[in-house]
Order: sequence, then C-alpha cells, then structure tokens
Amino acid sequence: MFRAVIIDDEISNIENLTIMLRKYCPKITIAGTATSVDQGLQVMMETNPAILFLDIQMPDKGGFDLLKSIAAPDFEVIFVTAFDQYAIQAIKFSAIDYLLKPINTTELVNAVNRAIANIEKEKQNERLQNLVYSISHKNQLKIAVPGNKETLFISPETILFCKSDNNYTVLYLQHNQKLTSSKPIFEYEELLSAHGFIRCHQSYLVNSAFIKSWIRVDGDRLLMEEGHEIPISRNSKEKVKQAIGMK
Amino acid sequence: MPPLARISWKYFYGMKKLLLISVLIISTRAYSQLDWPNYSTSIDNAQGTPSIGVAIPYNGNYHNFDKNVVGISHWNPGSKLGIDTALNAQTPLFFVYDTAGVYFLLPGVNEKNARDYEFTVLLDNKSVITPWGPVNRFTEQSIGSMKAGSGISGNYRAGTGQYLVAQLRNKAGQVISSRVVYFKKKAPAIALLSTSDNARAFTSLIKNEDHFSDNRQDLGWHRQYTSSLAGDSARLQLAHNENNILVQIDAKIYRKEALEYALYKGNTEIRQWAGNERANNYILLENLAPGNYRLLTRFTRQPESITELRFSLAPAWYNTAGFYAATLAFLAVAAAGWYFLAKYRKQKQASALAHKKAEQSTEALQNIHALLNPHFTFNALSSIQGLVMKGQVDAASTYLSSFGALLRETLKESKSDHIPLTKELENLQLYIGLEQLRYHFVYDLAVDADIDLFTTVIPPFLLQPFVENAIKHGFSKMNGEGVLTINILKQENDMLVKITDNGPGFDTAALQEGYGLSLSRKRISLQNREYGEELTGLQLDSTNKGATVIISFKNWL
Repeated sequence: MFRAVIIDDEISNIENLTIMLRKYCPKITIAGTATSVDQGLQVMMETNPAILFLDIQMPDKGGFDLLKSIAAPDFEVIFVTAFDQYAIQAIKFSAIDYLLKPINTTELVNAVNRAIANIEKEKQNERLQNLVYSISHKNQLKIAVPGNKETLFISPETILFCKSDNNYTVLYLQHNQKLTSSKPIFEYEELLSAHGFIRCHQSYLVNSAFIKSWIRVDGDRLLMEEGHEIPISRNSKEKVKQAIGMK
Repeated sequence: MPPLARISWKYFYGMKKLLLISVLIISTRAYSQLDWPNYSTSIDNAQGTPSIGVAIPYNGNYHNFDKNVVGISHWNPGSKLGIDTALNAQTPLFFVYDTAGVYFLLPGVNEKNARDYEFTVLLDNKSVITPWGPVNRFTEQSIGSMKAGSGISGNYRAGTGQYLVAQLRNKAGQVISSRVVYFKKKAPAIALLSTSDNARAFTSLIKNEDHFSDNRQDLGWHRQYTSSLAGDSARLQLAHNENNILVQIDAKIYRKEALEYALYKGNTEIRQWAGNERANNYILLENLAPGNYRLLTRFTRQPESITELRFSLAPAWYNTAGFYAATLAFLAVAAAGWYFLAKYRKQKQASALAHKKAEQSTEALQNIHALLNPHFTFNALSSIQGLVMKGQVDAASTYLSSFGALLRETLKESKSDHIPLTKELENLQLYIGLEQLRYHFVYDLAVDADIDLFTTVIPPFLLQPFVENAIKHGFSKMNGEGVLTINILKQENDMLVKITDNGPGFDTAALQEGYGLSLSRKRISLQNREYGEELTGLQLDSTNKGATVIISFKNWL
C-alpha cells in the first residue's frame, strides 16, 4: 500500500479525487488531506506520504510554494490543475505527471502507476528538485529527458537543434552528442521558442545561438556551429530572418 | 629649504593645470562662422530662465551622440561609467562619440544680465578647465530655439572615457543648471556581412547615397553573416567564391568620409587608412585573392577606437576566364530577374500579412464561438446529465473530462495559426466522442502511412465544422446506422481530407450553412491569401446515399 496526501483548496475536489482513488487505485490509501499550503506541510510532516496530489493554483500560496520549502523531496508528486499554461509546460518537461480537471479516469490510473514505479526505482526525487529550480529561475530551465536507467537534465543552451522522428525527437547537443526523447517536436517548440529556438522547417527546431550562416546556394539552409546544414522551408524564411536579425 | 620645496610643488601643480587647459580648448574661433547645421543642439525650452544647452557635432554620422537625455543615475548605476557619484544624479547626461568637441549654449544669459551669472567647466569633475567666471561670448544669430545674443562657450573636448561638467550659477552662488558630456568610446560595429563571387550584385547598393535606405537584402549575395558572427573573427572562413565582400557598418553615416578603413593581407598593407570611397556605411572589398585578411575600421573623428575583422579566403579550384565571364553574365541576369521576382512576391506577401493580422484577433474569438456554439455545448452537458440520472457514473465522468479537454484545447489553440495534425485529430475525436452521446453512429478515421502526424500542420479546428455538418444533417434521422469516415490522404505533395457520411445527403446549392461551416470556408480563403496562391480548396458532393466533403491542401507535405 502507498500512502497519499491530497492538497487542494476546494473540499469538493478532495472528495472527488478520494472517491476516484478508492475506486480505481486500490494500492493507494489516503493518509491525509489539506486545503492550504501551510496545513499541507503540517500533514506531510505527520504522515510522510509516498505520493502527493497537489493543486497548483490555490489562493495565498500555490503548490510550487509548498515544494520550494521542501529541500530534499523523497515523495512523488502528481499535479492537479484546472488551467495554467506556463506551469503545465514546465511540468511536462520535468517528466512529472499532471492531471487536468475534470480528471480523466484512465489518466489518473496511468499517473498513479508511473508514480509507484518511480518510488520503487529512486530514492530522491531529482526531477522534482529540477522542476522547482526551473520554476524559481525561469532563465535556467533544464529539460528532463528520461532514459532507461537515469533521467538526464539538459540545459537548452547546449542544444544545437532538434530533429523530428515521428513521435520522437532527436536532440543534437554540443560536441556531437545525440539524445532521443519520446516527446514529439512540437512540444519542444512550445517550450523552447522562448529560449531562442526557431522552427525553420517542419522537421527541425534550431537554436539561433548556434547558427553560423545562411547558405543560399542550392536551396536555403542554415549552417550550424558544428557543421550541420539545416533546411529552411519556404514558409519559415521570414520568421528565420527576423529571428537572426537579418531584415 | 623646506619652504622652498613646498613652493615648487605648488608651482608644478599649477603648470599641470595650465597644460590641460591648452590641450582641451582647441578652438576659440568665432562661433558665428560655425556650421550650425552640423550640430545637434539640445536647448531647454523654458524661455527666460537661464540654463545650459549642448551643441554636439554630427560630422557625417547621425549617431555621433546619444539623443536620450536622461539623468546620470540612469546610465551610471554602480558608477559604471566612472562618473563622480557626488554629482546630482538628475543632471542630464549626453554621450559624445566625436572627439572634435562640443559647445555649451547658455539661453537666457545675454549681455544685459551676464553679470548676474557665472559659468564653469570641469574635467571629470576634478580639474578646472574654465574657472567660475561671467559669460563673455554671445551669438550673433539664433541657434535652434535660442535667441541671437545668447551666451555661448568656447569649444571643449576630452579624451574617450573622460567627461565634462558644465555648471551655471546665479549671484547667490546657487547652481541653477548643469550638464555632463561623456566622451564615449565607439568603434564601428559590423551589422551584416554579405559575400558573393560577383561584385556587381552589390554595386547598386553602394552607389546609393541615401544612407537611410536599407534595401540590402535580395541583391544576389551568396551568404550573409549576421552581426554576432561577423564580429567573431575566429569563425569567418570564406569559400573561394566569396571573394567579394560587402561589409555594412551599423551607423547612420551620411558623409562617407566619416568612416575610414585599412586592409591587410597577411602582414602587407594592401589599402592604407583612408576614408571610405563607397556610399556611406558600406565597405566593398572586391575581387580578393585567396589569403588571410584583416579589415580595420574606425570612425574618422575617433581614430583611436578600431574594429578589427579577420577572415580568410580559400583558394579557388578553377580559373578560366571564359568560364568566369559566362558565370558572371549569367549571375547578373539571374540576380536581376530574381530580384524583381522577389520584390514582386514580397509586396504580395506584405499586403496579405497585413490583412491577416487584422482578421486574426477576431478569428480567435470566432473560433471559440464556432466550436462552443450553444447548441452543441448545452446538448452535450444535457447528455452527460442524462448519464448521471441513469446512474452511469463512470461514463458520465469520462465524458465530462472529454468535454473539459475540448474546452481547454479551444481556449488554448484558438490563437494559433497551425497545430500539429495529431492534435487536430485528437481534438476531433474528443468532439466526435461527445456527439456520439447524442446521435448513434460509428466512425472510422484513417491516415495515410506516408503522412507524418507530428510535423504536418493544419489550422486548428478547421475540420470540426465539416464533421459537425455530416453528423447533424447526415445522422439526425438515422437510427444507429450512420457511418462517418474521415480519410487523410497523401497525393504527391498535396494533403486531402475526405469526410464522408452515409446520410440522406443534402442539396449542396441550397445548403444551409451553419456559423462554423461558413467560418471554415472563410479561413480556407484566408489561408490562400496569406501565401499568395491557392493552397487549400473545398469540394462538396452530395447524393441521396451520402455526402462527401474534400478539403485539399496543395503543396502541403
């Protein structure tokens, strides 16, 4: 059995999730619930849960405030949120689960199963620490790429470009390193466009900091720092020009 | 002996001061002969009250100074510029890049009231250049908003990194106006570097004396290096056919003499320091032979600040004159043709873009309206309520979260131009799932294996109104035999979306279009205008055995 705590400012949401967990997730017992961050910290200390269901937006203090005050989290978090684009994006890339209200049963069961698998695998929740850091230092975001044995944390400044491979994305890093992620390229575009990345082609997302030159002979393409040549699609030319400061 | 030593120290101190003054004041020539149009003047317009104005020379470069007149505190936080923090932080600060010197203007001070005021100029707020004393020069003409007969100073200058403090005080000894002029280091910055094997591609540009026009793009260059790279010498290795180089300096130069450059090949000076012979801020290096080069640039009026650009040119692998001439002729013709074509297309695009922007914001709102049309929204909610009443709690919960997901996507994507095909199809299936609560039908969704669901894009929720139409007109009178088929096909480079139903069909001519359907039609035509050609097409076909809608996206894949 895995002990869980639910923190949500609305009692009806806590009740709803409790019923759903009881019905669909027999491995979970509810060790405690709270309707505010301060009360939640108290409950966490008393019950030492394995899984925390945490609402991101609450009046006064939000879910991230609670996490910031825990230095070395040894529990799994499943976020529950109504609508918060920025937070969801950051969560997505820290390889942490989240549920959107109203909660979908299948998604709930999957998230709980993944959390249980993680509890059995790792002692400390590094992904959570990375997320909390990224949220409080918006410019120093790191992307968590889960691998077979370990989760790698990649800083966007070390990515030369991303290439789509069906629903996978291959990240080309500095020094000829490559990494395959199980997220499609458009999700990287959503996250990285704020970090100087340009979608210059339907299959490519490039880091403008590594563009060396624009080649016009034999079709338009970008020459990258480590010698890669990336095609520029017709519809993206204007966008790329603007992004690299060519009027 | 000791008293004598003290005297000699004082003497040396005094000498040093004198020396500074002689260096700093270079010109006391008659100000009335000055070429005032060459000066940018900043005069406080509070008429009557004496104050200090500043006249800064242009000398061929419109950005020879900083126009933003704000207090010292704005530019000098943490004493970044080394300006004395004891100065009033609100004192207007001017940047000057031109070491030719500035004049201080004294509006409100004239021969009649000159005895009531005193003026001083300090270097770095330490050394006195002009000690406190009455104003004794006056203009013979008006300068800007300053009347003739107003006070004016001599010419002052300082070295780069130094600054002047000018102050004006009244009889009571109160400082009533002060200005700081900072002589800032400024070396030319390279904005863009274009290369070609054909210098003629650049000639129309460098003949253009109009320094403000910026039509540098699309002139037949082969490669362009942007500002951040052009400055980084280590990385600039040019191919043999990049032997004509157009360097654009980031400055508003209107007299070409304001910019100087020198060129070294290896250690040999192949061009001496001299003013630019081309138009203004473009330096053209023509027909360079292979080798390692250094291009040095500087602004004439601040010769000590030099920008160095290192680049190397690889040797060519061919050298036949006939081949070269033929290539040149071909390139010239092609460049000209291509230039006009590009210009034409650009114009077309620009007008389409402007139109699109205007319609975009209203479109986002219309999208939300179309998808969440009250008929669908409340009937879907009512169907979910029905499940609750019948005790089908699990189903109700599932549909409720689908409804939530669809609402969320609508809000999120209503502003996007395009979304990945896979997301559009996810949203479509959420929608169909909810409609299946109301009408009983089955559906089949098939996508060609050749189509990449993750990189192919489509305008968000474009397909939904067509599906809605098929369900509403096709299946409302059928009892569970309805079949909806959605096929996404690849046909060469085109993408075809085929939506078919087996309903009773409808008269395509007399089709009563819903809000969503007409909106999708509008979006299709908008899409076409944006790219200046017919990209998407719509085809409706109806028989009594069913209806088919084909939306084609040309050259989409």
